Amino acid sequence: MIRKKICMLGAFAVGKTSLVERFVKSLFNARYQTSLGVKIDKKPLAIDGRLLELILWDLAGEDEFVSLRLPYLRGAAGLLLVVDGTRPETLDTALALRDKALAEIGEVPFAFLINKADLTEGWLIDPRDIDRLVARGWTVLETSAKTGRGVEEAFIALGKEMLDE
Amino acid sequence: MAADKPVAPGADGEDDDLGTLRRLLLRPEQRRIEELGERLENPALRARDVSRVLPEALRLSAKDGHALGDALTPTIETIIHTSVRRDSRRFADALFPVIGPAIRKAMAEALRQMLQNLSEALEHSFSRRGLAWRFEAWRSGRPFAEVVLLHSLEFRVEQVFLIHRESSVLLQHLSAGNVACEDAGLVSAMLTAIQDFVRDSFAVADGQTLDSIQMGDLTVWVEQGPEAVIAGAIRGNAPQALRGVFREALETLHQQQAEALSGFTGDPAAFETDEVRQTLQQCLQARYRDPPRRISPLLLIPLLALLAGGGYWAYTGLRERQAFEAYLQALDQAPGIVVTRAGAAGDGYRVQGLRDPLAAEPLSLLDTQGPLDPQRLDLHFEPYQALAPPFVLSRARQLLQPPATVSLTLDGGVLRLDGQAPGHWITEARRLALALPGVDSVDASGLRDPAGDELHALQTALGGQVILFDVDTARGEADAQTLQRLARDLRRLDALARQQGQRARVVLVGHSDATGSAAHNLMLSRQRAEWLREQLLARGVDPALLTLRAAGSSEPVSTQDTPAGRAQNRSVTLEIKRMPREEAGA
Repeated sequence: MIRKKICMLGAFAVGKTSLVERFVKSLFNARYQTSLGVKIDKKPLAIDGRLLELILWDLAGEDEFVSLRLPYLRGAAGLLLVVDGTRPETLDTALALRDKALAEIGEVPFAFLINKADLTEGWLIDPRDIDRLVARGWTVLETSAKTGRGVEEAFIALGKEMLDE
Repeated sequence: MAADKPVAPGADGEDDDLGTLRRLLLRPEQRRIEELGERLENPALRARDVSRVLPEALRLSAKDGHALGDALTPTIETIIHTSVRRDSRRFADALFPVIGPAIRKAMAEALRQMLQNLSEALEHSFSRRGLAWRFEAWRSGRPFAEVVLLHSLEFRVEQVFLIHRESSVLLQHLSAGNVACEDAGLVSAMLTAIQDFVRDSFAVADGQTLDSIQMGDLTVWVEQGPEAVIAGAIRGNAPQALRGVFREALETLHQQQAEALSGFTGDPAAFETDEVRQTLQQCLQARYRDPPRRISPLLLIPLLALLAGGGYWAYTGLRERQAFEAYLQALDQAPGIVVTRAGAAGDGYRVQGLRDPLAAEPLSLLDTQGPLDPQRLDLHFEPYQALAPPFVLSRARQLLQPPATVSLTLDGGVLRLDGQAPGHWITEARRLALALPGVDSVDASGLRDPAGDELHALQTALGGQVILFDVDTARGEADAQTLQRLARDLRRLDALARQQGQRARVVLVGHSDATGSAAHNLMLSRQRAEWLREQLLARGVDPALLTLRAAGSSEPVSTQDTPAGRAQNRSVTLEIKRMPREEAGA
């Protein structure tokens, strides 16, 4: 079994926590995130017959009041960058967070998750912006907090990339 | 290169021919020289050449002396200096595994000394608790100081986490027996997060870390290493000494798992070894928290029996030894006994020494009701003569056999004899006593011999007795009373002489006066003596005592010239003789 630390980043209220909560094993109360600025969960995966245990550091969303706590990134082997599909500005935040994180910890695999909390809401992000990310060879997945679509795939995609490292 | 250029043959005549020949002949050597030149001038090639011989050259140089070391020292010092200045952390990381043990070794010695003192201080405190701890130390084979430490502190390390420092990934986790554990992987990550949070939130100086988190009676201790972190959850009051255990375990792990730690990519399998677990196990310190293991009652029975048996054995042994000591003392105090060597021998005791035969019997000095069995005593006494006054006196009594009327005293080397004793004993005693060891002289002035005196007086009195006879008769004039008294005196004489170890002889000498013929007078004098003998024998005198002699008129008692004198000469007189018994018997 391989254990890896990954960090989940995103702008404030992009729905990170609720996106993954049904896929991960939680021990700690969500309140920790508001106090400590991080919530830690576990996500066991089986990839190509290998067991991978992801320790998911769910970092508090960044906004004008809360800034990213860089020390939490230390030792992370992968990043999940969550974007709210209905708030285009969160994509910019995610990109900025990516740059910041990679500058801190070096090149690690990462995946963008374009999340949609509700089916009724329409996409507001310009698909061309997403294409641009894909064009750079980056992993971009569309997820749904409501149905859970794409979340497991996101973990597997990132896990694979980390194992290939 | 010239050598490689094709040469046109025969173009320059003889010179060309020579040149060609030379080129043909020396071409390989020329190439070699050029190669060598290239190697000397090309820095890259030279560096490669030097690198090939450098290790061997260094080795040889080191063998030859200190020159190389001396030459390199300033450079190496500068390098270390620069390195420390540039990145002190890296240097600290490198030193981490060795600096701890070195410091600890020095500290341990100082602490050991201190604990020893503590132990000694407690040694004298014979409180019930102290004794119980001492017993426990004896039972468990641990140093007493450690047992005291264990009881003075109440805590238990419930869980130990070994965490990869960089990634906060859990490498190994151990928990004490029945402790409920949450997901250790998440806990270890959270511990790291908390550390990061504190460091990030409270402007902590670089390199400083959160060592301890405390909540109620639960303490989490975090020990940081360059590659890994040990965190321990401790319930109760953790002693500072436990820090050392954590640190030591961490250092051991850094040494043992140096490669696995530095090359860690998320696979904790490398730490799933007994070696790692054993190292971490030390941190669990179950022994500190363990309630003192109680001995099962079943085990207690033989233990108590053993104790009782041992106690009884020790007690009887002690009592026996005490009795032996007392016996030795009694022997020592007994006059005429000298103990030269004593002690336990084999199954019993052996005593060697000197004993005057007159001294008390050694075994009689032993208290037979006491705990010392006479059978277990092996006594060897050589005879000797003690010169203490009681022994000299005893020996004198034995040798001299004094009559009950005589008392013996010893004053310095002078043996004093006092009282009444027969003369012959007195003579003998004077002679013999001087032969006694411890007697220098004999003072017998205090001795009296009343029997001897009486005998002497009696002898004198009897010697003067004259039994008278009438003219020409052999029948004495003496009346029965006179004869009776004479017979009594002779019997007394006989008895007294015998008392003195002598025999008395009484010669009855018959006399006559000068009238008449000599032959007649001789016969008459015999008849007179015989008459007296008859009279005396009839009065109980021993016949062996008496002998007769007829003197006729040849030994007149008095003058023949007067009638009174002649009357005196008609008589029987007594001659008393004394002689030693043997002579008389023979």
